[in-house]
Amino acid sequence: MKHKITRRDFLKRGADISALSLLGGSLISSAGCGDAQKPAPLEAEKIAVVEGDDCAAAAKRAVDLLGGIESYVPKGAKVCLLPNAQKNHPGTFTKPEIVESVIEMCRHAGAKKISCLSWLPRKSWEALGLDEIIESAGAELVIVDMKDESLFKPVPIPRGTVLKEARIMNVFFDYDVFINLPITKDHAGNRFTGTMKNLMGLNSPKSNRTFHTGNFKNDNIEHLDQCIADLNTVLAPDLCIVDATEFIITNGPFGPGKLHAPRKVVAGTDRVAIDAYCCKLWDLEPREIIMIDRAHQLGLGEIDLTKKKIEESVI
Amino acid sequence: MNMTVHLERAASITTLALILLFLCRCTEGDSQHTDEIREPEAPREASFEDTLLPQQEDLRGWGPCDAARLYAGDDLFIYINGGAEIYHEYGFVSVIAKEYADGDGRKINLEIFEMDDARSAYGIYSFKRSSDGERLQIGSEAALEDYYLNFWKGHHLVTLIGFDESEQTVNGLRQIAQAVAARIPKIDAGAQPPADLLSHVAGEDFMHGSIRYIEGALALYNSYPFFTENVFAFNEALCAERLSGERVFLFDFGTCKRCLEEMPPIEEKFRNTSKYENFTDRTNGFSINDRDNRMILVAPHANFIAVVIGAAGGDLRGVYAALEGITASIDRSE
Repeated sequence: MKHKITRRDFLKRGADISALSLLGGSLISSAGCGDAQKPAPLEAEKIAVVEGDDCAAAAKRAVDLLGGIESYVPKGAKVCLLPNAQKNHPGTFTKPEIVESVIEMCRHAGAKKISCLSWLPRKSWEALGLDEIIESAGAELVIVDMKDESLFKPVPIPRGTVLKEARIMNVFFDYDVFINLPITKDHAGNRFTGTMKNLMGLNSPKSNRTFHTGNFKNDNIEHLDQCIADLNTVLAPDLCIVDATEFIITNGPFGPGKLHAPRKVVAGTDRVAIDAYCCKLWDLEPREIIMIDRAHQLGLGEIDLTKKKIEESVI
Repeated sequence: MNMTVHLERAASITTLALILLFLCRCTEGDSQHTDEIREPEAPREASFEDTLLPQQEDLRGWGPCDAARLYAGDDLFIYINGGAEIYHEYGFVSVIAKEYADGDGRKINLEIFEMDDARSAYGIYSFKRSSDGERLQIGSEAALEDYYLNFWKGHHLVTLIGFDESEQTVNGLRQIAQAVAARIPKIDAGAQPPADLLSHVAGEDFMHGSIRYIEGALALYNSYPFFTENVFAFNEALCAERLSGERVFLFDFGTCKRCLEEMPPIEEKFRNTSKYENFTDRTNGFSINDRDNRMILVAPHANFIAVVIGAAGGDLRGVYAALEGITASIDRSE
């Protein structure tokens, strides 16, 4: 099915989403449909970290430490989830137990609709058993045809340094609340992936391809990181819940690589701080991860963890 | 029935057979393939697939789960979805991926990467293996890690991934790897791994599995994030870790003249980058400290610039011992 967005549709959709954002949803800033830079002082937003073998329970506890899922998911809201389902190699995908736990929390909060969005083929989800888990937990898996560019909406990035336009899947704009569910891990392109890079999962693969420059004897390592930071100026998850239970610290993002198991789930809204925290789980210096540094410079969050309240718990 | 009718009927039957064959292949494609799948488009690729994948008689207790998928060139981004650059930097041509399972449901993924030449294959192998792996006699060199196995041979890198660390899975990794290795031709034309360069870190002072051959800025950045710009405009390089903890980088500039020309901008960049401090001129080269207060010693020697990063908590003696070991090896080879 092809979607053609008229000016009237665009204005109507913008008005709808603006109204929904008042309920708590916050999707796109530059399109006038929310605000990627939250008005609340970032220092005041804490990070919750829960350690334990039961990652589903850890996810639940982490969200509880942030005030409970009801703080993020109003009753009757339509919620979209963005897990990483890249590959079934160990330590490369968001644990299905965490996805299931978040769906359960959203249902408990009274969400009207819960969907996992992806342009990855269904086969990727089947390989993880996530398709069945999502559906049996009461959510739906929405696969967008990656080849059909009409299914992705052009979104200008006025503050973008190198990325001037994103192409976000149309269906994303049908939701009120966006919960980002990445796994943190190594990435050979920029050494780290976490909350911010996961948002490429909403952007069209064709647009994502431009993040990866054509010159592979490349002299511009910063390009990918800057594109990700730019993308994050127009996308703001309402909540990030990061799988840091077990992940690869070499040969990312695809693996196979050396596994590291801090047994942690990290949650919060400050993407920069969460990614900075996750970096330190395997001794990376956040300021040396260009994407994190650039996002901090763009005002998207706090890179200095001494300025954040980090609430930790063990289960 | 005359000859014309025979020919017409034969032509009709042939046409029908071709249509049926086409429809069968389409149906097969629909059931077994998804968007991510790329069929071989050129005879070379088809031949590559046919000759290198293990045959059923090679797979004791393991069988294929799905059709092989082949991705060439930029299609690697479809398969890897993000991490393709490093393969391209080393000279990626194509990859075949296939999944196998045993009777108890254990699974193994097989990936056969075709690279530009043997040097590229060795390079990406050295990037992917870890220093902890068990060395195996499969292909030209192999490393078995907890749940996966990499080996290279000819201009191919082969990666096998198990999904558990059971004895059965590890045996399966070895068995399938040996079957693939047997199908890769021994003699390979084109560039070979840089034996001269590698000989400088071949001694017992170095952890063998830590040796990494570097062809571009991305592999270098993943090895140690000196700079985001391509400051070391090297021809080729390697890095390796000594048992005593120092890390050695050796950048090959081809000629002594070029090596000396490259030193001033490298020095200037170190001096002007805020994460480095305590710049000190040395008799030959300079030293500076990184953010973790490890000493970095940079010294030109013959066609090379050697960079030694001190061990955490290490002293100047260890850094100089590492440098002397490298320069002595270079002198011996000349």
